Amino acid sequence: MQGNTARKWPDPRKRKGAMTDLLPTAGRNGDSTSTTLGRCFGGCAESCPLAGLGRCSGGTSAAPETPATARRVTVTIEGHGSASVSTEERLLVALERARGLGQITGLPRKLPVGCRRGGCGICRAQVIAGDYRRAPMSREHVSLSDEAEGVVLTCAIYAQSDLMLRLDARLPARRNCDGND
Amino acid sequence: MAHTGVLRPGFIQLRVLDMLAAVEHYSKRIGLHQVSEEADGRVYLKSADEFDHHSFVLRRADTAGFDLMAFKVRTDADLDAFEQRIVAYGYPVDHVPAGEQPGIGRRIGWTLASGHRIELFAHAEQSDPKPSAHNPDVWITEPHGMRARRFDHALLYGPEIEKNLEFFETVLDFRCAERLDMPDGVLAIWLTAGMKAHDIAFVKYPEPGKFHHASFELENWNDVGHAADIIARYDISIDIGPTRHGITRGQTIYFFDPSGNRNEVFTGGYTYYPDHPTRTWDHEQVGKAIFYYEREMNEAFLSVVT
Ligand code: FES
Ligand SMILES: [Fe+2]
Repeated sequence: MQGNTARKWPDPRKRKGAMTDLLPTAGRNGDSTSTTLGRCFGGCAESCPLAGLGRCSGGTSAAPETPATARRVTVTIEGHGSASVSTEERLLVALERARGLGQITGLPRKLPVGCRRGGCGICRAQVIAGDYRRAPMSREHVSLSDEAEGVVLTCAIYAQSDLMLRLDARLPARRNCDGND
Repeated sequence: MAHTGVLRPGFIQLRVLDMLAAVEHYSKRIGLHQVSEEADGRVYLKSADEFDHHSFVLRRADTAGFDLMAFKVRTDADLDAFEQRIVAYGYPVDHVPAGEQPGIGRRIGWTLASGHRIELFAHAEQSDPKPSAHNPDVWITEPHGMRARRFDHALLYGPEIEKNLEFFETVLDFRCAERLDMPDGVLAIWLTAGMKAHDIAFVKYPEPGKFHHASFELENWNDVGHAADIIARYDISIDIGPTRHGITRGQTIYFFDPSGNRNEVFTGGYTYYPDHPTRTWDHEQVGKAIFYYEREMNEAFLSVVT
């Protein structure tokens, strides 16, 4: 599916003025063993002992900017209504808002919301149609074969076109996948 | 010196999906300092208010969750004594050589009935930044972010926590400060090695080895409010709070790191002495026990883990 476009989404660490611009970006979705961070990220003053070692970048990062490329698309939950969402917004977070506005109704159970960061797996769903970008998500909940069938953690995808989503029991069963499958 | 054997939590090691995002979160937002990154990619962090080399370890992986938690014991001889007791209890013990983590001496490790790896170590080098020990100012390095003062405790989810209770009490000399009982048995236990209300806690859960949260101690309720401001300002995923736990009385916020591992910042809680009774809660007050102001558990408390 869209798995190969993962690196194209705006990297929040590339915001103008973010001190992490100073950091190596290699290893973002892979291993970071070749990088040596060795620096303090604190908003700490000259009193920071790491400052003297040139390892303290001090200060705090700039405000997030609304990406100029944000577009609005329509996400439909099979049988339960649809919502207008931004292409730069975690899908689950957009759906939480749509539920609050009454645009999504009659779900068989409450919209499952957990960590919103791709770790806990509670927002597991299947994309039936449409394009999306992926943020990191735990292999414990989405195996490689799940991924090929469009199974996602909705908190870790960004809709890039109109999307059809399946939340119900016809989801492919969670497999006993080890971390590296 | 009354406090012998296991002193306190030493460090926890968690898996993260994105190391750069994790380091930014724990250093800039929580307020820790990065001590080092080693050749295998693991990153070691600490609060400037902690003496020992590190208290928080991040390992990049394809899944989020818990690798291990290590407690510091008072003397090297304690390691041998505990090893004998753990083996006699029936758990195989393995040995981790000094230096497997930077600044940390030899460790012994084993797996609990709940599926979690626990370790003990006796020696840690100190690292900067750290508190002053002579005419000490309140801090040497100015606190930043949420101003976490220490990694304080973890809450872990897994089966057979009655066995964990027996093990921690009879083998590691912990005390159960507080427990939550359901009609069909114990649901959760809060265990302490010293005078804090808890150093580690367990909730019964079918899947072994799961992780609910790692908690950082803050100085006061105002700092909890400041942490809430940081959570909103940087759009950190929130679970619940600021609120208070009935259990331990801690004033708290639950939120998530960029890999979905739950964090807590908290302040307060009572002082536990070993002659105190175990405080107990029953199923009719379970809401108040967990979230004292809301008086009900949110859905995520029992279902969202990594
Ligand atoms: S809410 Fe936890 S993985 Fe999506
Ligand atoms: Fe806690």
